[in-house]
Amino acid sequence: MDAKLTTMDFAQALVRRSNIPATEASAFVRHFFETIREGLLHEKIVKVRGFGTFKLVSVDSRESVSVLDGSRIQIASHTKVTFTPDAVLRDAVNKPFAEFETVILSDELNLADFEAIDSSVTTEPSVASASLVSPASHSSSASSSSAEAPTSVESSTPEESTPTTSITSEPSIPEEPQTTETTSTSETSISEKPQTTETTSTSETSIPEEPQATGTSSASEPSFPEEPQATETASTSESSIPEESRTSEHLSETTGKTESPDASGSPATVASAAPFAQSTDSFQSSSFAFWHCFFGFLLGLLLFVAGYCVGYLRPFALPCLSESAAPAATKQSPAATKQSPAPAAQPSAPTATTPAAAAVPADSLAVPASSQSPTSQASDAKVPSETLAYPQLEGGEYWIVGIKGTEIMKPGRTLLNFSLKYYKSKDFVPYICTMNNIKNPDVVPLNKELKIPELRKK
Amino acid sequence: MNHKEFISALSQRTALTTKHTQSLVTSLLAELSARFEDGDSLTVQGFGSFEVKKKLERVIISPTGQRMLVPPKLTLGFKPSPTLKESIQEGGDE
Repeated sequence: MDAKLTTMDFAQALVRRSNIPATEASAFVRHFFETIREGLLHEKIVKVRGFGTFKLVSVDSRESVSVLDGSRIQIASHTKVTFTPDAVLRDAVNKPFAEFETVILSDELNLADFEAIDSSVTTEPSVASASLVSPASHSSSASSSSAEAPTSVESSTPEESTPTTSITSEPSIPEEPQTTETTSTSETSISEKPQTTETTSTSETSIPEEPQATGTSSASEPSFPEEPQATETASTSESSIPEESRTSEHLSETTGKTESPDASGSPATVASAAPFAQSTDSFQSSSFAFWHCFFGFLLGLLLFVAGYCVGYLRPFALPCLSESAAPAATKQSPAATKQSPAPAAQPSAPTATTPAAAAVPADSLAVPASSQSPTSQASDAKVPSETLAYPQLEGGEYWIVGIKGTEIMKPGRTLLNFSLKYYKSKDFVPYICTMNNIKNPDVVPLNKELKIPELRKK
Repeated sequence: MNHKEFISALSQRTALTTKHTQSLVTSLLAELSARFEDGDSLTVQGFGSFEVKKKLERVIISPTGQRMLVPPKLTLGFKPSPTLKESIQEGGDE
């Protein structure tokens, strides 16, 4: 057993078996292998029944790497000898293991493994979606409160500042265009002013209330009596819309002030507005064409800004949640209808014939616009500017702000491994998926280059 | 070179009849087989060594996609000696 035999051992065995002299036997064994060798050299193949086949096989030259220094070396073409044992000998040698047979493996065990990985991956998105639901319900409450906003002006503002995601930005959509629109009015109001200053003298005659307005403007102190006055008088209230919105724009710039500074800031402008309204009365025919163009331009700008904001803020919305999207859409439409009175009231200002009722909603609309615009801007400011360059995980707790590193997907590597490697947690697989636009985390193409996102807490 | 040619070549070398040579070869191979079954190894000077080796069981994937477990087995391997290698290298250069 396990003995190392030589030709001599077989010669002795041959002597025992065949009754031939020992010298002849050893010579025969030696000749046996010599003949095989000779046959190989001459014919390159020798078949011996009951033993096997010896063959010479030529090997092409190939490149390899040196084990010592890693340098490339060339292995020259050469010839090697192979031995394939005969079936009889092969089976005889393999007798101890003859009863074994090749078994076809069932794949059930493997599938179970994959399912285990599956569940660990899929639980995370479910948690994320669960956390998404709560803001969604929050948004419905916020939307209802903001729907009331036109009537009760500032009640909704503290609530809306709390939700972090797009819910704040959604309500701010209808308001923002107004604030931006007011900037345009403030620009154009420069052109208004000379007109008003010209016409103050003539305007005094038409309505008894204006002297009061001009009086307060000269005093430039009491703001609150001014506003009720504006609502009372149809002509002054309408003209005050751009003025108030202008002050609201002032407010949004300063962002720290409340309503009272807004009102205190207004007198000067309101004063000029009041006479201006009557000036348009008297100069109606001459400046009508100019105002027509002006408000047409205003309307176009408003539509553009509204469209821009809707498009711009869409990424921050939760498009995956239809529940939150639906109220947002319904909320936007009243907002649009809310906005329409404002431009509608403004063109009517030159004629000065519209009732105060039309001016009052427009007026009240301008105020929430001013009060809410800072919050919306603040919520925008929370979003890091770097995030725009990368896809974001909806409802995730982190922003994707950069690329931490890259990995190549190889056999044996998983997204889970990468998550553990870079974040010490398996919870970040969805971010890697989002970053690399992987729809199914179980199916990642081989050799795909994966960007590992740099994350920042929201 | 098939078996018949091998026997005739061997008989010429040993100056024996082919029939006698055949019987000797058969008995020699029977002895070899018996030795290899026991797990012995044979080393032939100037030719090479024969050794029984155990190959472990392994899993293969067939071309049809089936995964199969191949059982362990004992195989007879041959390792040519350096002198044989050299001689066939020279012969290959011809």
